[in-house]
Amino acid sequence: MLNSSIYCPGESSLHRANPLTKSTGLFTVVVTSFLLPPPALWVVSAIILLIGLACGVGGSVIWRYVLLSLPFTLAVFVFHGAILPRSDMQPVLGWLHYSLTGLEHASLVGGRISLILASSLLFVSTTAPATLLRALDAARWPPGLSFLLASPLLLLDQFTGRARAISDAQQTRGLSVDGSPWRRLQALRMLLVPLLTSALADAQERSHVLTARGFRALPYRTVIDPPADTRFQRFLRWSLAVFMAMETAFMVLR
Amino acid sequence: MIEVIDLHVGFASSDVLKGVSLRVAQGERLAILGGNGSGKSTLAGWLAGWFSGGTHRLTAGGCLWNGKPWDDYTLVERAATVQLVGQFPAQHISGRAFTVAEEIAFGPENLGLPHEEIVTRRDETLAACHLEHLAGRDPFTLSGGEQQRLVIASALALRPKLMILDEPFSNLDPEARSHTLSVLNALPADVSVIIMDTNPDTVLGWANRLFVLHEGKISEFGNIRATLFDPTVIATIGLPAVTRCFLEIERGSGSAENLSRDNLPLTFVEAAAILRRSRSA
Repeated sequence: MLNSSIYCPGESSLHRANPLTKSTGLFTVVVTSFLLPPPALWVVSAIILLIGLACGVGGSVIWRYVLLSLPFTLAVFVFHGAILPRSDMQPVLGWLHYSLTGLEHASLVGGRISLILASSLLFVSTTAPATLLRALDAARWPPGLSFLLASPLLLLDQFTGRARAISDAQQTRGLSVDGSPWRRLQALRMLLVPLLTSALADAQERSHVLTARGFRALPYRTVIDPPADTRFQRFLRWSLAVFMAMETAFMVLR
Repeated sequence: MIEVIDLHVGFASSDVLKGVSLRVAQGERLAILGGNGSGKSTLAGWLAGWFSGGTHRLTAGGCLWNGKPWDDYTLVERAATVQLVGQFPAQHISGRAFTVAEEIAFGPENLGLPHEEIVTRRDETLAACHLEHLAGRDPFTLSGGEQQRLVIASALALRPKLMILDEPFSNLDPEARSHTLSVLNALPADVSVIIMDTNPDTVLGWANRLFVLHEGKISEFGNIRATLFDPTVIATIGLPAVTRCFLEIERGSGSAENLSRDNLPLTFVEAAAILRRSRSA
């Protein structure tokens, strides 16, 4: 199993839904987050986390949600509520001041990030990358797009492993990776040069291999086991797309 | 089939191939031996049509498949015609497939083949290359030898008419090596196979023609035996291990047969025959 994928296998209805339906839903949530007021943003975030629990991926989603959103949310509240000067700054204690409008703005920004993060985590936790690629291929999206999605996931572990091997090899030859920041920077340069040159050589060879195996020779690929799709899901996708278009038009015109 | 005509190729400021000419007929099993830096990988790349627009500089000559250069063929035609398996298998994994089975099906899927055809090819190739038990594994988590078998399987799934293998045995243990040769032997008779290698041991008994690539120049000396016993070839590649062994025995103690370059064994099969005759005498 891939280390860089956070997909959690399961049999929930969200797991079984076509990845294109889920990704359309995700984009709809992202667009909607720019229209919802702060309290609704936090409530919908909580609902999405509860859906994650119901789908059996709650632990993974909530843990990552807290890990990623907490520092950002705290920073936004401190910066907008207490640091950024505003006309309604009120003293709290000694030098500490706060602004109500600043806190409201922080709630709006933090809420948007929270909602986008929660829905994205739910999407990636319930969607196997391979299934997403097959769905894109089945929908006849350009093969290059699916490669852009897949290759970072697949090659990241290989790249990390190679970086570690280069670091180990350099250290056995006497390279010190500890010490002052300047010394560490020097060591980083010694590690980066072989890493980048080997990555470039790999990329060139892999591009030959992809061409030799007919990648992008045709505008579409055959998919031998496309993810299940239903008339209802297709209808839902189109409805969400129309809804997103209306939301966007509303935001532009208001 | 494939014809290389007076191919001169440079890379950076040096000439890698210096007038290579070669003609491979349908169904031929051909080995090209050469030391490190002799130009094997460059020649393999040109045979497969990989370098026609790349960093390798063509200074003269060319490579033709059925009378036409590779550039005249579509990518689909090329993929279904020639496949090259390189010596570093991790570089030859597509980076688009999450499992071994997906990696093998990757090429046929790109060609837009019918669903049933792809499944048949995938399953047949998995079985032929002994990869069924690894079908669900991530290709990048396989060992070097397993990755090499996967790359060969992925190439075979495209059912090419010409297979080129550049030092394909470097990551394989002896059992996997012999299995890979048996997979290549089981290919349809009309498929041509070219193996580039540094070691004569692996390809003797398999190849029906033997070439030597040395400092960018290719030579064939009439037949395999004549090629192997050419002094330049002995100096650069050396004799097969079994031949060297018999030469040592011959020098040390003499034997029942008079061994010369005309009857020295080149393979274990030939060596076993000599030993049997010697014992019965």
